[in-house]
Amino acid sequence: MSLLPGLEAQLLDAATRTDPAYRPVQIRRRSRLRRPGHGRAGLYSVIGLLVFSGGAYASRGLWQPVLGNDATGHPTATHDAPPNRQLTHLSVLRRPQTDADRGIASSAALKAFRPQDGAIRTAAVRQLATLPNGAIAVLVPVDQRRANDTAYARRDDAKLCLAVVPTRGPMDPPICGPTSQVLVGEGLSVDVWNPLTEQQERGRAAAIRKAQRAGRLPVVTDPDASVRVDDDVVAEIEAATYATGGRGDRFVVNVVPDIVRAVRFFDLPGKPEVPVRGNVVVRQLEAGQSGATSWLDAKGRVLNADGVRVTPSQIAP
Amino acid sequence: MDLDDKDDDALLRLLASRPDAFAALYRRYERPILGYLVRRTRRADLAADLTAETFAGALEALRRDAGPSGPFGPWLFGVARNKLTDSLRRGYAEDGARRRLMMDPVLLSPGELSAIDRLAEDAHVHELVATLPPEQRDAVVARIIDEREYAEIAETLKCSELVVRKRVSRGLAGLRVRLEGNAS
Repeated sequence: MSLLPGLEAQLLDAATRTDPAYRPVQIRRRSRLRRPGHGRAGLYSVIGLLVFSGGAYASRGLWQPVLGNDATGHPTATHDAPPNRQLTHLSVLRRPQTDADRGIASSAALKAFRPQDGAIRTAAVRQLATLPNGAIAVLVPVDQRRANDTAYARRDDAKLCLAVVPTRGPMDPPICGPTSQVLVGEGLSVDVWNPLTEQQERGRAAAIRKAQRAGRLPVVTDPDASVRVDDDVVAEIEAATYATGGRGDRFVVNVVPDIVRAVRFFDLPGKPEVPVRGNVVVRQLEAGQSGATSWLDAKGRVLNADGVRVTPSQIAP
Repeated sequence: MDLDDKDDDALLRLLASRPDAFAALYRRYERPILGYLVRRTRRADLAADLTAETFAGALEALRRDAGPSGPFGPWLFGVARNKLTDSLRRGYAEDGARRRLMMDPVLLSPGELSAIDRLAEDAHVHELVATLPPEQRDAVVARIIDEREYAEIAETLKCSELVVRKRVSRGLAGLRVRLEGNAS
C-alpha cells in the first residue's frame, strides 16, 4: 500500500491515458427524440427571441474564436452556462461577457487549449486583469466531461483554467484546477516573468549554440522532450541570457472566490494586503519570495490563519 | 504472479500493455523517493510535490522511450535529484510534467504530512552519518536511509556490489562506535 494513494491513483490514470493502446471514447451528446410539432414550436421560439431581444446580439452574432491549434488539436466549444457552484462563488462569471472578454488576449489564450482539456465554455471566458508588464490574465471555464478522453471526462468536478497571455514571446500552457480546489485557494495561481528582451533572446541563443557545439547540450527535436543538463551549463546559459539585464518583474496571479475581499501575503515583509478585484489578485514579487497568502473577508476578518488551508465551509455563501 | 512481485525490468516491459505496472513501480519507489526528498528539503509538502513531479516526469520519459538505459532505480533517483536541483534554483517545485499529464495538485491530509515527516531520519543520526568517511557515508545513506538496492547503489557509485556491502558494513560499525562514544 502506498503512502499517498491519491497520487498513486493519479499516476495510474495518467499511465492509462498515455498508454499507446489506449483509445479514448468520443463523448457524444445524446440527441433528443423529436416529437411531432415540437420542432416547429422551437423554431418559432427562436424567431421570437431574435425579434424581441433587439438587434445587438443578432448583429454581433455568436463569438466563435479559434480553439486550440493544428499542432495539438482543436477542442470543442460549449454554450452551456458554468455549473452553479462556479456561478455562486465567482461574480466575474455572473457579470455579462464584454468585448474585452472576447478580445485579442482571450483569443490568443484559447489557442493554447487542447481537445483533452474539455469543451470550452466560450460564453464564460473572462478577462481577469492586465498585469503591470502588459500580460493579460484570462479565466476559461471548461466542461471536462466532454474531454476526448474518458479518464478525464469521468471527473465530476468542473474545471477552471487560467491563462496568462504575454505581450510578446511564447505563452505558458494554461493551468487548470477543479472548482473545489480553486474555491479553497489550491487551484489557480501562476507565476509570471517578464518575457525576454530581443537582446536577452540573442544572448541565450548564442549560449545554447555554444554549449551544443561543445557537445554539452543535446540538440532536441521534440519540443516536449525533457533532457538532463548539467547545472553549470544551465548557469552559463542563464548568465549569458541576463548579461544585458535582469530577469525583470515577477508577478503572482491568484483566482479567489467572492467572499475574499483582500489577501495578505504573510511571507512578505510587512505582510502587505492586496484588495481583490473581479475575483483576482495580482502581486509583484521578488525572486525567491513566497506568494503564500491568507484570505480576508469584507469586514477584514482573517478566513484562514497563515499557512492554514481554507475549508469549503468557510467560503459557503 | 502479482505485479508487486515482479522485478523492475519486468514491470518496465509490461508497461507497454499494462498501465498498472507503473503504479507498481510507484508503490515500490514511493517511500525511498519521498524519504530522499523530505530529508533534503525538510518540508513534507514540497517533498510530496517533487515526488509527484519525479514520477510524472519518469512516466513521460518512459512513454517517449526515453527511459533508463540501465537499472530503473538509479535512473529514477537521477530524475528526483534533477527535480530537486531545479526546485532549489527556481525557489519552487515545477509542475510541468504533471500539467502535461493533466494531473491535479497533490493535496495532503494531516496524516499524510505526518507520515512523510516520519520518513525523515532523526537529525542526530544524520549528523553522525555526516562524520563518516565520504565513501562509507554515501553507501550508508543510499542503503540504510534511502533503502536502495545494492545493485543500484553499485551502479550509482561505479563500484561492485561487494564493495558497497563492505562500505555499508564498515560505515555501520563506525556509527555504532560513535553512538557508544556519545552514550558514554
